[in-house]
Amino acid sequence: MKKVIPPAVGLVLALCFPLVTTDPFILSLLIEAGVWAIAVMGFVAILRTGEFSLGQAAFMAIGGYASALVTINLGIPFWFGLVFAGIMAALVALALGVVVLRLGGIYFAIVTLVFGEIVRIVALNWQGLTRGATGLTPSAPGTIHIGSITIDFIASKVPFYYVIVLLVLVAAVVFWRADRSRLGRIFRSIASNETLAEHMGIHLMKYKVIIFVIAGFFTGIAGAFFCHFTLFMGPTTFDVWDSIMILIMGIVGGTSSVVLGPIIGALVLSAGGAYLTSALMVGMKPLVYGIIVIVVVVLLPGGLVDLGRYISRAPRISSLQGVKRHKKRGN
Amino acid sequence: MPPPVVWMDGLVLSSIYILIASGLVLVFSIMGIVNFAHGQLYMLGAFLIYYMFARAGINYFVSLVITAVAIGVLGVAIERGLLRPLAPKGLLPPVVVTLGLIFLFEGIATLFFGPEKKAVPSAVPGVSSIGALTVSNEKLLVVAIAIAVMVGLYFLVSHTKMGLAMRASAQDPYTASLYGVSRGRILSLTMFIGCALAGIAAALMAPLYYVDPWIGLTPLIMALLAIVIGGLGSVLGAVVGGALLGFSGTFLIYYLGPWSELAAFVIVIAVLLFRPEGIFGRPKA
Amino acid sequence: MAMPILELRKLTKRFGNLMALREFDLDINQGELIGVIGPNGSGKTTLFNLISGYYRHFEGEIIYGGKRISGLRPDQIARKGIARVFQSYMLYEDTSVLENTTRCCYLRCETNSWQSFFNTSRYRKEEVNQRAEAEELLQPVGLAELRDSLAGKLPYGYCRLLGVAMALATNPTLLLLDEPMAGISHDEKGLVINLIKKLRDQGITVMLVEHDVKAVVDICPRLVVLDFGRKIADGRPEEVTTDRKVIEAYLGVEQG
Repeated sequence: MKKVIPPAVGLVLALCFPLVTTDPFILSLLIEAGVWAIAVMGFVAILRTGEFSLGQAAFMAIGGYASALVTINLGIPFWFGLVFAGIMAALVALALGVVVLRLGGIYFAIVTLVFGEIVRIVALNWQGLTRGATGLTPSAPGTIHIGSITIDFIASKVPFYYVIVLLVLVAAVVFWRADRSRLGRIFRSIASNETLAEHMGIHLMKYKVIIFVIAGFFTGIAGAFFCHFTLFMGPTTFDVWDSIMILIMGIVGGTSSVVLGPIIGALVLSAGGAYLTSALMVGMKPLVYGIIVIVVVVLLPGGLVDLGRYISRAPRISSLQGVKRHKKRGN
Repeated sequence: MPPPVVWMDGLVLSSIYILIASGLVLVFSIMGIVNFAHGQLYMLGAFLIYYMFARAGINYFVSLVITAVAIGVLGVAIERGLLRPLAPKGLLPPVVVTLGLIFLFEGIATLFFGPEKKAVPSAVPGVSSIGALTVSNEKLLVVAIAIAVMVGLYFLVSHTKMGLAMRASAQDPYTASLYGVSRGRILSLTMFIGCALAGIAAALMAPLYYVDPWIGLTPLIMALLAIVIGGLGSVLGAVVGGALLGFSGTFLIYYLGPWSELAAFVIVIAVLLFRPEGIFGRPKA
Repeated sequence: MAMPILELRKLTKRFGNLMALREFDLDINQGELIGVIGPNGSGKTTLFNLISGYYRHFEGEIIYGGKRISGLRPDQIARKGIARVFQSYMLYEDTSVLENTTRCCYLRCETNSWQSFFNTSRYRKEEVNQRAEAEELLQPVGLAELRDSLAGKLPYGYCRLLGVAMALATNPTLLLLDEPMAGISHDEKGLVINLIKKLRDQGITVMLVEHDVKAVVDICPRLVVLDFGRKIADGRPEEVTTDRKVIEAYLGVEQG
């Protein structure tokens, strides 16, 4: 029971936050942080099977376009748009994963990075569908009336805030349960020693594809939510730079946990980054991000989530350990 | 058959891809990691050329040599200061650092050089005629220097003691060290040569395109694709992969317009599907 | 005679110009304990690499329980009941001895991923049982007391023993043991020999690759001798050890 208390306290704090302030700027920062937190959880979950995806933002883009297109063209409500976005992103993850996870290692990293570029090029050039660089303008969810209560997504950021809290919660529960169940043991086996895991009966591809698809599903939903929040979806809304940013948030937050590290990383870097862009000169944000991730890798390999343990001088677990050193098989 | 002008453009693009990809693969073959900041070193090199040649008016060839050396030295600094101390922690930490450097260099370039596009004037203005074909001198220079550099690299790697030491260290670092090959010196040397190649590519390319903090991404991606096609680990593979992408890229632009970039990726995915180890890689057991 | 459980047909494996194994034929019966010996580089480990699916490109055919298994992935082969103990250091180094064994119980699982995901009572019960089974597996190899030690910190000999326990966790019908007695003490050797005999009594077919010829001659009723990738002898230990070809190729070298 003890383990349930800290996340429950976190959830209550998150739910009560709008009582403290409903300042749209601050809520927007938190909402964006929530979007990134979901994407980072996906990245970290994949990393914990030993694979390094550099194309996670592409799934946000696929989700964003999927939802924007069906809501605009077919008039489907936002909520179904989200689910559709998740399914589309998951299907693409399935197709890509089946081809590319076979190769693994550095090939996987390179091809996923390139995949981000492919998505951008398709979005830019498929004018008839995506309107190219002009982009799409998805709308905010419609006003909901429940009895005398009216939930208006345009007048206030609070409803968006609660939606993203809910989405982060669902994603967190799924990734946490996956990590705690037998799946987690299988993922750790694969990350620790692929050859051994395979000889003990684990079908490597099956499980790598499973986590890649789950991550794709939630990442697609996060992308869809974001484009309905900002009311814009274009080819560079989510590009290669964002994929690298997801990676940086994951590493900075710490990959020794599937949920806490990503949430911390996304909160610190996304909210902090938004402050840097709003307050300072252009170019400051990437500079600071670059320095932060290098400092973390060199000085705090476990990421921010490890800071507490670092201070209390308890034994540390490197978040980067357990990721395979050499991918080549056969001799 | 595309017209000769397209062939010439393919040759120019191939030269650039080959220079960048062979630098990337050289570093990979010795260090075992992909330097994702390679494209950003190219970008910084382009800015160096802009400030030295276009702004300060230093002779283009002097600027080119200084750029190559400066980017090479920067590469050595990265290797000594960051990658080498992290090497014992496995493959991922150094790779993450190179990804962090992408952002760091982008930030530095945006803050200090500004985000707007900058033009670099032609180093050798005018055109030449080869038979019926009229080509700008700039493009001829790119191809000539790229060929000279690659031939030089070939002799360095295959005909000198230093090259022998590099190849030995790539194949088996431990045994090579027993025979007196200093691993540290080989790492620095490789990083210097690999990054200097990116600097040369930037110097050659800057007068043909423009310079801004984001120009490093496309060369990086094309170079990554080239070395994947080539089979990750052989310079020859990078040369073939670079040429394949350079020519197919220009031909496809001629036939397909903006969709051509996509076609190049499709080619790569197809290569990976049917020959996962690349054209020159060794098949798995 | 009963139908052989494992049939190897003209197995040939090349590495470039080197023939690691050539036209290797062998039939093994259910419950047999068979020793494979040969000088270094004679192809013993390569043979295991082919049977367990580590190498998937080779010539020839492997039939197990009447079905062709050559070309299958290692996990498919493991699922058919063939378990392998590696010669080299092959563990989940970053976790405990017990967790290493539990991870290898994967094939024993009866609940599926969904039941595990939703933490159903059947899954929870299975987890508890599996942990007990894993502890039980550590007993006969003498590692029960070290169950909480980090596997990566184990001395070499213990790693081999843990490897055996992990292979048994998959519930094999055929066990491939690759030099389980290399680098372990005399007492531990006795442990391994007893364990092998016990497995044979349980009806598990065991293929034992071993460098220690004396130990193999003592426990295996049938020996196969490999030299330069070829089978040069196959029979009872007393026949094999007196075979001129074997003495020349292998024993002759060792005895000077």
